[in-house]
Amino acid sequence: MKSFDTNDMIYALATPRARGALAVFRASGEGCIEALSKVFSPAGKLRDCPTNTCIYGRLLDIDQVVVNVYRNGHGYTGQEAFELMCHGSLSAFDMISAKLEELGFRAAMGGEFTMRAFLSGKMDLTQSEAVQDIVNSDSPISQKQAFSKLQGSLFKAIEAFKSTLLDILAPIELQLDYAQDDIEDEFGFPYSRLEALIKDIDALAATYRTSPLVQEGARVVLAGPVNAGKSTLFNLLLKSDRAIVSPIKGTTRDYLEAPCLIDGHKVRLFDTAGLRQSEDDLEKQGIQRSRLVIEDADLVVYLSPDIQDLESQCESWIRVQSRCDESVSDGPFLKLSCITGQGLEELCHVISSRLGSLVETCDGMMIQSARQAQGLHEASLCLKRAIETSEIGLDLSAGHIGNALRCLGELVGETSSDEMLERIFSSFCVGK
Amino acid sequence: MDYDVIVVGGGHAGIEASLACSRMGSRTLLITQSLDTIGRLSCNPAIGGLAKGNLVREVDALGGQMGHLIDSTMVQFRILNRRRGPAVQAPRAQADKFSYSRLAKETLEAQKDLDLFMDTVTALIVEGSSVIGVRTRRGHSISAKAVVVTTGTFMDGKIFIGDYDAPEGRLGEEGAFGLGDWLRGFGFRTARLKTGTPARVDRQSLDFSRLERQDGDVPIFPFSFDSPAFERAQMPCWIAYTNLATHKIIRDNISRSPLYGGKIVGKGPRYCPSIEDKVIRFPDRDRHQIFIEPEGSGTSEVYLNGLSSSLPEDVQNAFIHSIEGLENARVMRPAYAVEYDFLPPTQLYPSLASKLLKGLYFAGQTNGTSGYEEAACQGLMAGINAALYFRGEQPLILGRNQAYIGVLIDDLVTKGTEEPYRMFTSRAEYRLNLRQDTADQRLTQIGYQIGLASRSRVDALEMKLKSIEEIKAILKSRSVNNANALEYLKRPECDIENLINDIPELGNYSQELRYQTEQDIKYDGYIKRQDIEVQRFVRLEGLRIPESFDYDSAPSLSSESREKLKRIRPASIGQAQRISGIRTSDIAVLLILLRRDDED
Ligand SMILES: Cc1cc2nc3c(=O)[nH]c(=O)nc-3n(C[C@H](O)[C@H](O)[C@H](O)COP(=O)(O)OP(=O)(O)OC[C@H]3O[C@@H](n4cnc5c(N)ncnc54)[C@H](O)[C@@H]3O)c2cc1C
Ligand SMILES: Nc1nc2c(ncn2[C@@H]2O[C@H](COP(=O)(O)OP(=O)(O)OP(=O)(O)O)[C@@H](O)[C@H]2O)c(=O)[nH]1
Ligand SMILES: [Mg+2]
Repeated sequence: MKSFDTNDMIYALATPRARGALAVFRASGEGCIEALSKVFSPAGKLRDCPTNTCIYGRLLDIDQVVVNVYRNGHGYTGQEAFELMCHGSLSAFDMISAKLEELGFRAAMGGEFTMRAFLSGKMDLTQSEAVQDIVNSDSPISQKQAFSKLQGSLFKAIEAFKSTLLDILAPIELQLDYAQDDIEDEFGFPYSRLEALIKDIDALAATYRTSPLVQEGARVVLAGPVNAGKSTLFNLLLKSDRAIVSPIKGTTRDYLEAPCLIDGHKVRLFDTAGLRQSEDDLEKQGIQRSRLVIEDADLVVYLSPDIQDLESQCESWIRVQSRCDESVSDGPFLKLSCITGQGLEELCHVISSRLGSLVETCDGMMIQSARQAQGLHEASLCLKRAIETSEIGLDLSAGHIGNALRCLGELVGETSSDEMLERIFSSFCVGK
Repeated sequence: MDYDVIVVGGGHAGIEASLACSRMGSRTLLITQSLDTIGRLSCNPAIGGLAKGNLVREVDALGGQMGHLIDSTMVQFRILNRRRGPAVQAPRAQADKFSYSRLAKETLEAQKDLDLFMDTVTALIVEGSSVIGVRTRRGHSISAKAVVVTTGTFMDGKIFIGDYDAPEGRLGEEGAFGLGDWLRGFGFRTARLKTGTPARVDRQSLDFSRLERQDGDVPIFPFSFDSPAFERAQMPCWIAYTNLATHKIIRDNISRSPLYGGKIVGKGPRYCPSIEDKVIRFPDRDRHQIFIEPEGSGTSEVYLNGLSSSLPEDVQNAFIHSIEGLENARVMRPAYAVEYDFLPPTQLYPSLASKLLKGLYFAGQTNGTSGYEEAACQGLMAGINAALYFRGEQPLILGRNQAYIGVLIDDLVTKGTEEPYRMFTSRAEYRLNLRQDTADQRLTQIGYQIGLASRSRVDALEMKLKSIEEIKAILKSRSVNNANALEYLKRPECDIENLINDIPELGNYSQELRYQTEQDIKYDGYIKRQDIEVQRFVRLEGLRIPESFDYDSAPSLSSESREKLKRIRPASIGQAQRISGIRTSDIAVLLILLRRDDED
């Protein structure tokens, strides 16, 4: 049953789920500040601060954050609420979401913040149709919405999970609703079917992690020592003279970013400052920033004419022996010359195949929203609990499976207990 | 005013309703067609079972009668599904039918402020928008402030055996005519449902050497929280099986069934299929199980559970005789089907009060349920609410988190039913909280507050809770196999009974108490988790929608939802959400409108 509670603690990422300098989480509901203070230091400062204040601190060891605090009657929703500003990295998003859920927050439904704002009289929209639109905009994927191919197959996939789950649950509920000696069919707990389903659900949920990769483009970073030819390659791939190229070591300071297509893959290409020990303060800052960009990259292309240097770099990077027209040494690395064009096509090829394997899709389907991902995660968690509790009591186990069904139901539409009974009666001959 | 409350019909619903009213101080009249059939068990001679057993315990915890009736008259007792988990285990007992209904009548007769009268109600008397009495077939007009209607399978009842049909509510008992027409004339909707019962055969004609025997459990755990532990000689049941020959006979004659021939229009229960249904729907089965249950100790009739049918009697004889052990069975009463009028229950409030007429309540099979326990619990609630209405107090409505009774009534009034509704544990979201052994903890205090459950019950409950705490304290202070005994018991494979050797003090408490403590300990963590969901549920139930709320003044509601909301008139946002097909966005709109009304 999709609940429309108006008081419990909800949260959502208010900025796009994409990398950026900063991102904002929003949360609302009774007790939310107290709850957050459990993972915040200085905790007391957050707990006791007046409304409309800004508190700087740490969220466990996850991130340094700034929290805007709104007490009852203030802020967007008019409820006790906060906005949490953190660094815009995907791993931070995931960790913060997980932490909030652990604290008892749930992912907000679309429009729920606005909805609360209406309810607390914070918004003067006289026409509630507006709310309807908002709420509908994030309603479960409906058959109607299946016009988009992606949504269509996703809908079918989740429906299929639901149906499998009903099949699994029906014989269990049968055991619970009929006396042992009324049932002639043998019963064994469906461990393997549940495990298989968990695997499928997890696989679909995992596509969420990678979906920004597809939507916004993967971050491909060109790195390497000064004068390796990074900016030259950058321009070549962009087919335009974006970056300054010069024989002076340390030409590039601030990193550059530009969208481009590599063998059909949407990519955000980064040119970075050449890495070297430097005394120059400006250059040092540039190198520091480049390191951050490299850390957050989906794929690093490391250019260097020096084989020994290449050998000492990270194995998961694409290591390229650049300026190969000049060099005589031979190594196991891809050879590239931006002057003759040697190796360029091959490099594009390698980048594209690495990107292909980065993007996990599940039969071409991909989870699009946090809510969908959360629904699947929760369903999978419930099923794991169902397995854990099967020895203690079938009633517990069935409860967990029922919860999993509800989680899936929130994505594609509810399962009523009648549907369950229908499944039992049509599959088993019981009753007197 | 002749009476405060009139109860129509002396079935399982009517018994509880009239006792509840009179015990709560209303002067009550029970009018029923025949004083000789009060509390008759129309179908199987058993009370309880999965989910149903919980209902009986809940009725008892509130101060109802059914638990007492079955405790006094059972001839066999069993605990079902003990090994499936405490949330779904339940007691079931075979009743001595004749003692059961006799004791029911005696109890009614002995009740202060309760009169019994034999007649058939044919119309209600109305003044303005309230019911103020009933009119009977023999021409009596009797006035009352409230009326509870529990007509069971009798309103426009019709029975079928092959080609034969008769205007009866049970075989040999006249149906009740007139009231259905009156209700329809007044604007109530009625519809048809169907159910069936198997043949009764002569015990002396069975070959028991060819049947499997099934004995009851010892010790007996009473249904009523009042009853002290007791011992009783128990009667066995027997198991037989149909075979391919049985199925062939049924298939060859299926065209002679009034159901398959289209004579019966009412819908029957899927969970309680007739043997012809089973044979047709599950053609791959080579046998079906039949339980042979005694109808009582003083009678030779036995009940063939699993063979309900509406086929002609010659076919019934033939298929019964094809069963091993029943070759020479002599049928004493044939199987038959009954079709009757019910009142689609979305016409009622959660108090079981009619939305159309003030002071009018409906309960039991009339509301689309089937089963004695389902009838009894509604009778109890309708009776309680009629009495509260008479006193001018707020109705008692149990939540889905509090009792199976709450689940049942909420399902009925919120979703209605298309087939006879039976209770299943899977209908309850919070079934871990609805264990049969905790019914008193959930409900007795409520029963006491409305003046139904006695003070001694509350005392007994307190004693019980104290004992459970004591047992927990004992466990906590001891260790077994190098582990704290309390922690040790959390393991699935550990049984408290095996600890008695090591911790003899446990022997000072009854097995029932030990068992309940063990389950409390084992399920503690899970219950706590469920409690979070329960809190959310309770909050939504707490967002009340005033009865006078004008859905037409809310143009932004979708028209489909508006019609549904207008029909059901949910009491809370929680209930509104459960109406099938209501959109979340409409719930959002409702919340906003309610909020705005609040401010006006
Ligand atoms: C053939 C048959 C098969 C059944 N099969 C099943 C089954 O498979 N499973 C199951 O769970 N349950 C079954 N039952 C149902 C079970 O008997 C009922 O659920 C239960 O008895 C309902 O209780 P009640 O109080 O609502 O109605 P009933 O027990 O039917 O009692 C109604 C009483 O009201 C009286 N009455 C009716 N109208 C009037 C009137 N206008 N004025 C005065 N008195 C009136 C009647 O005489 C009767 O005494 C069956 C019943 C029958 C008859
Ligand atoms: N011979 C040869 N020269 C190259 C090649 N690639 C780049 N160059 C030259 O090398 C010099 C440095 O090139 P850049 O692209 O600016 O090098 P960079 O890696 O960006 O250097 P920094 O920005 O200083 O870190 C320029 O003069 C280029 O023309 C190559 O493949 N072969
Ligand atoms: Mg450069």
